[in-house]
Amino acid sequence: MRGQTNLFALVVALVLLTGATVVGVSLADAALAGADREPIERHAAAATADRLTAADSPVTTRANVLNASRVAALNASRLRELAPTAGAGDVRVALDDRTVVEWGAPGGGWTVRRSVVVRSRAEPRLIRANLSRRSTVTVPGGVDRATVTLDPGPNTTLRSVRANDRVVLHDGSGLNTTATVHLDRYEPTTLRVDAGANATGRVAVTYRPRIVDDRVLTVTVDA
Amino acid sequence: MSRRRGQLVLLAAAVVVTALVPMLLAYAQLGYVGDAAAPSDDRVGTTLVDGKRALERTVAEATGAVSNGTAADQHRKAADLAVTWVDATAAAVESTGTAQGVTVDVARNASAARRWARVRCPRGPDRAFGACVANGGVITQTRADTTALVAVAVDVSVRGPDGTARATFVVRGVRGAVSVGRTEP
Repeated sequence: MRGQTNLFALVVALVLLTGATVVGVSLADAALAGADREPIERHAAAATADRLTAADSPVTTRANVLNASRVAALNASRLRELAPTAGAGDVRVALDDRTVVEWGAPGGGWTVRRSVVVRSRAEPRLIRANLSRRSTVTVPGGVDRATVTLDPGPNTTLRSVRANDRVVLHDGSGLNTTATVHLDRYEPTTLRVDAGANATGRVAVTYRPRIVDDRVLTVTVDA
Repeated sequence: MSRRRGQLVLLAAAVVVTALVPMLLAYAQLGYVGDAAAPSDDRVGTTLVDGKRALERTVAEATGAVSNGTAADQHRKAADLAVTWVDATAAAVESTGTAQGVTVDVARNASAARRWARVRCPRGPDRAFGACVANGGVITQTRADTTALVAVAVDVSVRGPDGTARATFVVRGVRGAVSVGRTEP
């Protein structure tokens, strides 16, 4: 009789143990399913952001510095070429709140944010100078090229143009032209036209100042 | 007898717990995304790019310095002045590289300079300049009554733990560097 009671206790103990195991495993399974953190979306978004901001990316001038005109030229097929992993689902690339490229309509998905600098060129600025009054024009720093138009008056020969005393244009028989000159972008440049004491004529310098903006690049991938 | 049965239940419980341990370990690893988020550790590439930018800036500064202090056809003087600037930056780039755990070697490239001087020397309708003269990797040119520094050709080689990168740049006066040859790691 005592042995049978113990047998009964054993069966109850085994049943309880099995029940606890089943409950435990099913809880663990539910936890595993709930912990689905979309590694594919996450990886695709991070990889796309990395490719876009890399130093050798077609839209950057150097790492994390985007060139506004090249960003504007970005489209879905070029982005797909750049980051094939993004082709897995719906993708949106945005700068601040302005969408740059989008295909599909990513509803949720994973979003990666990167702080970037966007460089663009402002509208052209024009500086005119009358050579009988002054022969220098100053261009601010950060400008890497300017267009110089020389229009000498009668009895005037303009032989050379200097940028910070470096000769950039020269013709012994006289300049009467429009030419692009490259400037030192690290400092302001003074363009000087070599004109004699009684020189007449005009000089016009056109340049496009650089604008630098801080932006947040967001890449959303919804696979 | 009853003690044995009790031990049987205990043993079964131990087996179940052991089976659950790998599941716990697997769960602990689920949140790991370190690979995707970690910044790329490309010291060789960064050093190469940093070195290129330092050289661009130096050559731009040297260009201003050279054109302020020279008369026509002073190629040797202009080249010597440029060499002082470029070699100082080269030494700085090399020591920065060492501090970051890569070996950097920056050397002027005379033959690349000669080739570039032959083919890409600035000239044109509004640029009635003299011929380019290459001298120890430095390209100079007579412009009006001055001698201008046009470009400097340099070899940069970066050796790191993950590989070696070699590049030959022609750093033009104020227009930045153009790569004329590059070997990826």
